[in-house]
Amino acid sequence: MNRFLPILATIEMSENDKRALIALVIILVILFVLIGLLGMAVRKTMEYQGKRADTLMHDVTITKVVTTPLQFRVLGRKKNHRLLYRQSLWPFLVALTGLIIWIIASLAMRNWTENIFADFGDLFFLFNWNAEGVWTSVFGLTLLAKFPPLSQNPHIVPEHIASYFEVTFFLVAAGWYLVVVQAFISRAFMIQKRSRDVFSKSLKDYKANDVDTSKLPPLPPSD
Amino acid sequence: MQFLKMFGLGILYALLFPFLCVALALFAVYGVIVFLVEFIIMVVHFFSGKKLFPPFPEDQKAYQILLQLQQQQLAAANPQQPQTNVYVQQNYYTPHGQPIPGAAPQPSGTPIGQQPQSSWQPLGNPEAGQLPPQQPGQIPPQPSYTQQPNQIPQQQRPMNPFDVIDTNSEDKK
Repeated sequence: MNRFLPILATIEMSENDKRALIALVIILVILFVLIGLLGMAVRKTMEYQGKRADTLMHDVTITKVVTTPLQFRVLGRKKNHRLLYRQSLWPFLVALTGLIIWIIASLAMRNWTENIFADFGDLFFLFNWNAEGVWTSVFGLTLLAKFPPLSQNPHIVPEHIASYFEVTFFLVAAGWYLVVVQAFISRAFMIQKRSRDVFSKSLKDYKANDVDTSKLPPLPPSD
Repeated sequence: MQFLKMFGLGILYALLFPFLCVALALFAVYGVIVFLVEFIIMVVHFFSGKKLFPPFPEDQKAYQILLQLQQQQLAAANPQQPQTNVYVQQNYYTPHGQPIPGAAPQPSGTPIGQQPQSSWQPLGNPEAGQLPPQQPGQIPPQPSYTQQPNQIPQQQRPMNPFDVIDTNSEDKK
């Protein structure tokens, strides 16, 4: 530690460097806290989604139809697959709608090579990230110095209207399907966990040498 | 403290994020394969005349067990009352309302050939009360009348034993 102190003491920072460093640290802390909150939210959501596995396996477990962890896992996997199919039908139908629109539009315009995702960019702001003075260098790191200038405002091109609908359908379907897959993973984890917990036996508070005196026969009468 | 915990978790999740994304993408591909397999199973069920997704045998078994339990609980909660039917043969009373001391139940309530006699006496109708007592085996005379053509037959209303107040005689007074 003592070896590094002279090195740190020799670093000279200008006022701008100090400000940039403080801003960088604050941004990083806020960013990581936000990522942590996001991760916690995803975790809570997965716990909630995993509860569906209990509903799937409740009846067969309490009636002792399923009696071993292996049976539990096999039946749970079958039910989880069937539920995944049912839940992913809707996003696939939405994606199919987008595909049909794309086929019809391409047939009508006789253009099968158009990048529909680039057309969809018409609806958003575009920034010029290569403008002068946007980036700066601090300790050898390239950092954003100022907000980039606007290069495009949102606008609608009539020839791209079909692309807007297609991409919207595809994005909604993709997001929806990822949520469905997340729920599938949550249920799979829950089934794995329950297959271990439900059939486990615990000796935690059991003492083999403890004798329950209430079950002993009464003593013979004394003289 | 919570802030620091979140900060630490944020660093952990940021480091694990690429791996989590890869895992999610792999599960998404697996989900597509599962979708296709289940779709084929569904089509096979459809063309074999079954339900698209028939319940699993384990579910059916569990359902039967739960149904039996429910019926048992229902039977325990509502015990069936023994049915008590009173037949004419069990009538221990004579037609006049006097119980026969020590009499065994008659095999039939009314002897063959004898008309059952009513035990009530009309209070407010002196004409009915002055009727001669009927003999056993004698059919009481029925009022006869001739029906005219195009005349709506009128049924004689039998005297109600519960008409204890003679309104006609009350009016005459």
